[in-house]
Amino acid sequence: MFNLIKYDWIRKWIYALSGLVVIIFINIGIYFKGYSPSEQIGSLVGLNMLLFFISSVVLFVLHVRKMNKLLFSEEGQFTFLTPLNGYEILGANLIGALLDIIMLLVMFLTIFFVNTFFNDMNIVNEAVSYIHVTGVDVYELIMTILVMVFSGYSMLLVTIFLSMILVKTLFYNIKAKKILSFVVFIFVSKFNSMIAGMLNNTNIRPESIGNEVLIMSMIKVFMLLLFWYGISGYLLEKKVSA
Amino acid sequence: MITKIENLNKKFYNKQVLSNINLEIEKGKIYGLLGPNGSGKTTMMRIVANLIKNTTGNVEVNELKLGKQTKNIVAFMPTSNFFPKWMKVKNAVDYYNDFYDDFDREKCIEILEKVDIEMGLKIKSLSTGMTEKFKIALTMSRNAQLILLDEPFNGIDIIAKEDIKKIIVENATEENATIISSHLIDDIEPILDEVIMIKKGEIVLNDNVEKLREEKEMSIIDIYKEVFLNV
Repeated sequence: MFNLIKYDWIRKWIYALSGLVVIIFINIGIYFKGYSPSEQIGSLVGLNMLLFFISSVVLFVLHVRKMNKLLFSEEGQFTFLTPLNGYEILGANLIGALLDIIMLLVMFLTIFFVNTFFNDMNIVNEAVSYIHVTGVDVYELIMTILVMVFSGYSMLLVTIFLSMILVKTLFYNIKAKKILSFVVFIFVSKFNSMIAGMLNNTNIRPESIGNEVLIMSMIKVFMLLLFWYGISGYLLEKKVSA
Repeated sequence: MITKIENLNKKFYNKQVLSNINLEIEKGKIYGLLGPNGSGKTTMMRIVANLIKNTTGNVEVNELKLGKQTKNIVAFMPTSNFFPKWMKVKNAVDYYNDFYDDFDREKCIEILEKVDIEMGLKIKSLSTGMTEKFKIALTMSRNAQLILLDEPFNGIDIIAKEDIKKIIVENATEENATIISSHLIDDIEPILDEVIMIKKGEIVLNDNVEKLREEKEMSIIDIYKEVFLNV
């Protein structure tokens, strides 16, 4: 399974490195623009937030495209012929996508901390102090946000993957696969919302962060995630023709 | 016996592609799976390679049901160019080496040197003939028990055909069985031990090549014409 992730990285490391170099140069460029300290901080924060957003969208598109290629192009046979089962192939795609998100977060956090160091922004201490005032544990908050981001993104990807797998399973040799996958995605998402509504009577509110309600909600998301992962893996292994 | 196929059927919606196929494949032989376009050769191979699922029937490779384990002992070469576009020859060789326990990297490099394919080349830059040779080199470098080659001579020149035939014969051993699908009978007749003819999804002839030639006093291409064209 990890070999699939390895080859995915062999394919894209050069693009990832190029992206990193471009982002670093954009950041360095701001230092040489001759802005005032407050303008410089504003530009750095704004620009990096924009770059982070663009990078996240690009990654998301690449993750969906990769699954699309696996299922709907001849290249998919190259993966399906390997001695891996459907669960492992799906798992490799999912873990690979989450690793990409981790790399992206690490990259932008590093850039953020380097910028705070050079600009004496003191923004981290101010943010921590503010959170302390509200009575929320900082580490618990960070963990909660990370778990929400990763479980939410995993859920989104598994729903998209499942939609594509269902189309591949049910409709052999049909042309409008992408549109059909999107239609199925809408239905599966509706179903997800319905199930989540039945399982979860409480919405996640800021005051509930870190408490038992949130933990229960996350457990329910993970259960739903595992359920769809199991179904997708089963279909990929037993029903999908490459 | 390496492979046993019993009552195999495959339907795509309402279209019956394979009908009641029964077949036994033995080690140490090269089989020719012959039939015109659309006769079901590729479908049968792809089922045995576990790329597509059969509708009914039973397929066993080395007494194992089709699945992850059989992918370890079956080497399949599809007719299409299935390599990811970004890959270089070296990447694909490494990929096979990482995924297949039975892959012999040294053997593969040796074959690639013989057919003048450099490791640093991008796969998408290879000509049709070179791509076929590369696919054959990768597939035959696996010490797989069952080797399936789908239309290995499609669209290639006579020199490349000779190279490919040489690679197939050199790597067919007593420990494996090779099945070659083709509608180009002239090209594969000299290297076949057994012949399976398939017509509209049904096996119409399955016999030893020498025996057929002696009994019918005809070449395989003439027998093929007799079966498919009623000549």
